[in-house]
Amino acid sequence: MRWSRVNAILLILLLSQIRGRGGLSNRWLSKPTGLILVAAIVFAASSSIAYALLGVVPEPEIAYLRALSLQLLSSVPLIVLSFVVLYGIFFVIGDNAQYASSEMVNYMPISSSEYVLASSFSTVLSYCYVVTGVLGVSLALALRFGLIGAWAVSSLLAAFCSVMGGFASEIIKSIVNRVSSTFSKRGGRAAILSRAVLIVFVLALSQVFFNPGILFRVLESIAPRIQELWFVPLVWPSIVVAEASAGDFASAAFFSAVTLLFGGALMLSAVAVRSRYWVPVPVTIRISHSGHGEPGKGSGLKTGFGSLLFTQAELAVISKDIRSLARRKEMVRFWSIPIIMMMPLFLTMGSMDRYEVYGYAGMFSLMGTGIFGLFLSAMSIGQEGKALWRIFASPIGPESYFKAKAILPLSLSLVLSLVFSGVFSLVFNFGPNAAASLLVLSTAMACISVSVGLYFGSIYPELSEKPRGSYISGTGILLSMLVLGVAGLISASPVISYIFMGVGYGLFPSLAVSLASGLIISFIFFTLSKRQFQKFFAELPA
Amino acid sequence: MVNPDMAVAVRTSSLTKNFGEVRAIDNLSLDIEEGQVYGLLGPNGSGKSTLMKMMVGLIRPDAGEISIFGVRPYEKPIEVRRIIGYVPETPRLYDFLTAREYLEFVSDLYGLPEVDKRTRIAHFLEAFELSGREDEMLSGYSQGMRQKVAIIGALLHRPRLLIMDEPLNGLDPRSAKIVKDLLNRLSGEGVTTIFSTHILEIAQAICKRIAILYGGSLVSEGTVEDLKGKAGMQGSSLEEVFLMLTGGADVRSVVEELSR
Repeated sequence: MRWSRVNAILLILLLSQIRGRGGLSNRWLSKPTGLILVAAIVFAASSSIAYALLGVVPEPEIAYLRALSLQLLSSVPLIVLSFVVLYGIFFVIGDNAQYASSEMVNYMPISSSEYVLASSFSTVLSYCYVVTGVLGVSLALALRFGLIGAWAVSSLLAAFCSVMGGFASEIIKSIVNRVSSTFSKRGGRAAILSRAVLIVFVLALSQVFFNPGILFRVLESIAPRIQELWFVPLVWPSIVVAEASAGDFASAAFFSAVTLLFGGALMLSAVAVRSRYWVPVPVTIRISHSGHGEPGKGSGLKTGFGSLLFTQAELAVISKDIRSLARRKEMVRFWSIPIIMMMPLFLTMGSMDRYEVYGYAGMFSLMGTGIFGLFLSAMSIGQEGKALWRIFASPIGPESYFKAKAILPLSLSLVLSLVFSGVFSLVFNFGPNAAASLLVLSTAMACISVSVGLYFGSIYPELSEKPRGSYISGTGILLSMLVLGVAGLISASPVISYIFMGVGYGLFPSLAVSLASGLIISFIFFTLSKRQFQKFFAELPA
Repeated sequence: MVNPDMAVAVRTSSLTKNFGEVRAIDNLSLDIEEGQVYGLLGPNGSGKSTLMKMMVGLIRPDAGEISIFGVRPYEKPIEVRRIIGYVPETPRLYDFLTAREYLEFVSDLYGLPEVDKRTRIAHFLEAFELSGREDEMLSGYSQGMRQKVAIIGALLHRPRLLIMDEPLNGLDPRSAKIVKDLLNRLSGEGVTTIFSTHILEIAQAICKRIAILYGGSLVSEGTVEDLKGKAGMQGSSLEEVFLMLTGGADVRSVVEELSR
């Protein structure tokens, strides 16, 4: 193994991951040094803010935190390890198999151990700001409660655990690529569906795991008994911190040694599976088995009600986009948004009073509908990628294309607003007023989010083909989220003012004003988007 | 020289296109008769793809005029695209669709009736030996298979004008032969085909007329014999004429340098 080669591959993989996020080209942030600087800033900021916050926490809570602080510090390596593994899974979800199979590392003279080391370090480095954020918060705890020695041990082990997480991610990547190839080859449509369900499940699970409220409760229950879990390798680093803090250095040394051995075993396993499944196989997926020359059934849209409202070309674009949403794993992740928005509320509702439940249900409904509608519409052009030439070379005009691109996210977002208001109203036993408010505000939000998303998605589409497609530039998504926030607030303010401050002429007039303002804002942005689509169609983007 | 009895399929006059500092097309004037198989030759970066994209209306000219059967593509793009079939140099397809779904999508964009759509897709899949693979997602297709799908997509709606940017890229010899025969047959049916290629033997074999572009300018145009005559190289091959006209005749020094 040559370290110079590991270094060279690491640099390339790191650049690929940083620049693959989009919006960073030709800026200092697109370099590894920029990333390290960001990590350092996050460390300084998180430790300062956490330390300042700990200074204003009331005494009963401080006493509680003091009692728990050592356990929390000992949990840091485990948290870091989980973070890195989770991001490794996210990478697999967002990765494009076509690129993975054509990466030059597949045919350059590189050994699997060199590749595994470089890839693991690149995973760790590309998300090091998350690790430094966790370390910063734990430093604040350590400074506040005089546990700086424990923090030092904990940080050292957290750094090692982040590398272990990188190795674990490598194992997951290799196996998932291989299993996915084999499974997809045999499963066809069922494989696509299973993959979609799995992605949504993983994302929802990760949300549960990293929801601060839930995470804190889990740690609260596990941390005091961490030594009892001595047989679980993942908690060995946490046991080292606990034993070292308790003065049992022999035990700490033993668990340090087995942690190192476990890290080594992970690395060897990662190398072994990478050697075995070196080149990801581009998948051949057979969707149906209709036989030679027999036509498919089509999407059903073309023969039903859709044919009255849309032209043949518009329906073709809509059908294609539905397939894109169902089949592309980088698009499937958006289906998890509704679940991600509902789960925290269901999991923490036990500790809330009725008004808190109203507030959170409203917030999660609006955020869920808004984010879902915004992302789907903002990415509607960008998702075409380089295949956009097909649209531009076909006899479909900007108006038709706009119509086709607007209707799918709008329909889905409106359905989602119904689901949110229906599910929350049923589960939390809302009265008719609360249910109606939720429905009206979510409906307005669905329209606003899609109109805003379409507008910014057509100004800032990201059509370049990257290993991890973003479909809209960083500037575009930031601006659209900002505008959506402001527009959503304007629309919801009459209802919010009435409910929380008693301003207005009653609930239903407030709801009517909210809905009307939401529809006016949507109309403005839909009109602007339509014009922007016309401009966009003037010339095929380079 | 344009035959006065024949209709002009493509006309460009003083056509110019710049990309920043780079002049991709420089004051290009050209007439292409209807029903011809017309070859565009030129080294990399000579402006062939840019010219083709302007014909389809994908790029607007900075100066000069271009018309397709008398219609300016940048003014009435939909009208022009209805009668054009286009295959870009590297046709990116929608990988998440199967070949059949992709071709149905293209047929719908062109508004083909359901029966025609099914018949033609089945016919072309059979002709290009993709039958049996049509329900596989395009992500698993080889480059040559994707090229075949892109070519079928350009032919489905029976275009009057076919614009193909290096259509034989990645095709196996049998498929390349099918494409060549098809172009000849379509020419007999009055379809105009404009295609670029780096394989000069193919250009010589199937093109009625050829234009050689270099640095965005037209350096020579005519039949193969015309080109030889204009270059004063009657006994030479098209390759020799091409290399002479595009400034690349003496490649010996480069080869020697590379083999050191």
